[in-house]
Amino acid sequence: MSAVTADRVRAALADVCDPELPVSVVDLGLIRGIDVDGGAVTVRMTFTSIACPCTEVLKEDVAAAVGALDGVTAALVEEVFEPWSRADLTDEGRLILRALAVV
Amino acid sequence: MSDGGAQRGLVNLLVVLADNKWSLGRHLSEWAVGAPVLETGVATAAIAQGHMGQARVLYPLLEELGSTLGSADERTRRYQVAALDHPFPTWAHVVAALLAVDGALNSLLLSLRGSSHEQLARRVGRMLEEERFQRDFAEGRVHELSAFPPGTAQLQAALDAVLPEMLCWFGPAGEEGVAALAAAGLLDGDGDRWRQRYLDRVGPVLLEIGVDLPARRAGSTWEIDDLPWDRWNPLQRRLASPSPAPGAALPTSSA
Repeated sequence: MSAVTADRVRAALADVCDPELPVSVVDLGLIRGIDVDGGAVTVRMTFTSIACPCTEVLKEDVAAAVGALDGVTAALVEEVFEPWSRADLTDEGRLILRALAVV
Repeated sequence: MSDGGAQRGLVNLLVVLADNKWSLGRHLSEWAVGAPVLETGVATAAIAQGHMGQARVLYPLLEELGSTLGSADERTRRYQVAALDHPFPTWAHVVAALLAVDGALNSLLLSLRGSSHEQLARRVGRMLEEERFQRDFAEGRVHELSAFPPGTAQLQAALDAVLPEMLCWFGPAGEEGVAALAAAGLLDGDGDRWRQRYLDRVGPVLLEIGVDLPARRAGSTWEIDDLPWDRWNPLQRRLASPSPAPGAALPTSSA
């Protein structure tokens, strides 16, 4: 069984995309922390808007992606309500959103 | 939280804020396809979604505080102002609510930014980040309406029904529950201070277009007309409705 690490979790989250945009939660800058305690993982995330209609879908997708990792025994998603702005996008995220004329 | 009085006050405050946000969002959503122009309708839909989203993040705090009140859809008793009991009959009523109801909610939210309840303070911080767009939109629509005399008259009529209630909504001076919340560091200020802040916020734009207010400037403060405290319900923080509107769609405040 592979050891669970924050890097492995982050790599898994790079495949979790916003349901409305082809950009991952990592490239959107929504992931604010990953805590690993043995096989228990807590992902702290925020959203682009407090009114984002996709929050529950995203939380479920994040929990499912983390839970599917070898060695993970529990996956928890905590919404932290931290501010979000375009400055939180990664370069790749910004490139995709620019191509889509979103930013 | 060890102070029972503060805890009860916080539960009441949260349910009042959340129910008002929820109902405001719901009634605004009904105008997403009825606004004067397409762009305004789209913006109204986004704002409606915003208010409902804000309610969504407030309701879970009630549960964490041990309250069984749940979301507005799970109750018959609502803790919303009477101005939100029924769908908005005209666009002027929508604009009045955007400015006067939301303005009151946000004036109170400002007092919660530094709350000792960390989870609440964080949520409020995010709400206030998004609030300035809604405020700009509301003020823009006020100016739009005032471009034609009938628009100003319609807005005046809508505001006449809303402003006295929203001025009451901050509560009478020296309210016990508010004092307990302030003593516990859960909020700052009191009803009188919030009323002044509220008038500082909504008063100038309304005076600019010639709307009469139930208050007037007196130096750096506002002198407020007599408010209808005889109809004030301190638990639900609303005025008793004078009469039900015809064709009302939402259940109101019956227990």
